Amino acid sequence: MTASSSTRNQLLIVDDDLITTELLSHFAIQNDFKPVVSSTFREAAALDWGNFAAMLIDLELSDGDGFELLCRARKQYPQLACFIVTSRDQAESAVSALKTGAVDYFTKPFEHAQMFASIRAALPRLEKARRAGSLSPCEWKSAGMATVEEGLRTAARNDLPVLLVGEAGSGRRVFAQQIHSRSDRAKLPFATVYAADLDETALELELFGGESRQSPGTYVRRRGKIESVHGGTLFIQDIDQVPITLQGRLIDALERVSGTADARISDFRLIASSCAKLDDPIKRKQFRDDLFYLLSTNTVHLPKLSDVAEDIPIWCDRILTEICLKQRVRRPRFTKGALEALVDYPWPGNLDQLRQTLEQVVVGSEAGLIGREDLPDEVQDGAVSQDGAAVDLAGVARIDDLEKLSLVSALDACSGNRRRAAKRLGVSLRTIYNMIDRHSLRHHPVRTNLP
Amino acid sequence: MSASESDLDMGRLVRLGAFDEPAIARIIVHFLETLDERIAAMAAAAAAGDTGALIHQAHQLRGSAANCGFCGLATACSALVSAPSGFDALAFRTLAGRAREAWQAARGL
Repeated sequence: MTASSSTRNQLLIVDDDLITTELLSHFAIQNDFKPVVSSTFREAAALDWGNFAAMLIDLELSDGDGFELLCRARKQYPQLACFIVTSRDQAESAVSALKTGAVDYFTKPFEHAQMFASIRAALPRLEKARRAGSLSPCEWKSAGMATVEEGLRTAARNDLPVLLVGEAGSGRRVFAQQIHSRSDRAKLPFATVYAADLDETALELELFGGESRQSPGTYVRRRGKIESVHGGTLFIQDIDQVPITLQGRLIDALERVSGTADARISDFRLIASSCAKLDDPIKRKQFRDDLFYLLSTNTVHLPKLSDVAEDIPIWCDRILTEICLKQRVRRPRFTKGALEALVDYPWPGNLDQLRQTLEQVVVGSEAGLIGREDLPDEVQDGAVSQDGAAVDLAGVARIDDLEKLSLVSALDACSGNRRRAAKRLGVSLRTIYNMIDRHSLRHHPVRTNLP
Repeated sequence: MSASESDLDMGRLVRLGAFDEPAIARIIVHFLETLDERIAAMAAAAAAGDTGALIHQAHQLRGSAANCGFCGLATACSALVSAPSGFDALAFRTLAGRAREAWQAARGL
């Protein structure tokens, strides 16, 4: 989270019990926090969590599951400090919450001194973790990440819109935050809109504001993110999911940013992302080409994690440091075998999957050393099959057949990834492609190690 | 039946600052004032056979009672969360009365 100075001490309390929220708010103020109370799941979900330093969530809400809020916060705002409040008989839920990434949990009746000591202690640590996990300029080993780094630098230097193209889990939001935090707008708000999660009406309200139904017959004016992010950066995830009617309003908002003194119009920088290139939606008239031209000045293509496997150790190091600072645990080290397994695994869920895996591993590790056996089965399996690929030689009559069998085995073990299969067989990528052509394996079905 | 130590956790009230900080005392008084309404809502849920609502209300009341130091009520709510069919509105009203008495007695100390 990139919090402005005014939001560093905002604490979001999500609890549907009035008395409990009154008590928590009282002690929050005593501890120099600015409490904001949401008494329902719906109300909490509608807030921009980027404005908060920490969240205190009751797991049992009248209109939803607090655990779901935690999961959303972890997905959308990985740097937000989430704390859980539970009853004594919800110990299992509390453990699950910790595994999901909650910093700490408190049981009712809560001890306020202990609770706020924990929250206060976590925040500087989380700030440190945020910095550790951030993509500060670094010597990446892969050409792919070096290109990304160059793109981030360029985008941070100018104030034009940015388009990030990368598949799901490739860290589009993390990269967007990096551009923001390295830009001149760094001290101003950063807000995210997940276009794919909202229908057209909800998305319009989220972006541009309007009348929102509070209760039957009661409407309140809600500010849109474009207005609330004034001065800062708005990140729209999955811009290709924004309906074409709203794309026009977005262009208007972007064009009005420059050169007008109208106080109601927000001055914001737009960063947008898409899972795929926008050529197809443009051809199908589902995406406006004028919006694409506005966005495409700064286009950064984010690679699949498996395509920049050389940098997986750097990512592991950063993510692990961040997790351990957040969870107040000693930072474990990886064994060589574990690191090899992590590098070799194809990570179809990209950085998000790597982060989730490391979080699970840290929760389960006690010895200070993470071995291959501590990794999830699918990650271990990928690695094990590489060490001793069991090639069935029975019936292999010719060298040519043996080559084909080795190639199929390598492709299967690497889930079809040519680059990794080449590395595995100790040949160049070009050779792999030649072998694939020679054995007519271009359409060879991919067997993955995933469930 | 009169209020007893099992109704009120004095240590908790002291830690909360209930006797030193008017704001905390006001929250506790507010809690005691809402009790009848909350018990009535639980009775309505029980009468309607809405076990989910009854459990949720009992869970909420347990949380606020425990946080305010009313351990007798919190214990009764815990029992109700486990066995909602055993809801006894009269017993809860009695506990609410004892909670008020205990609070008054504690403030007079």
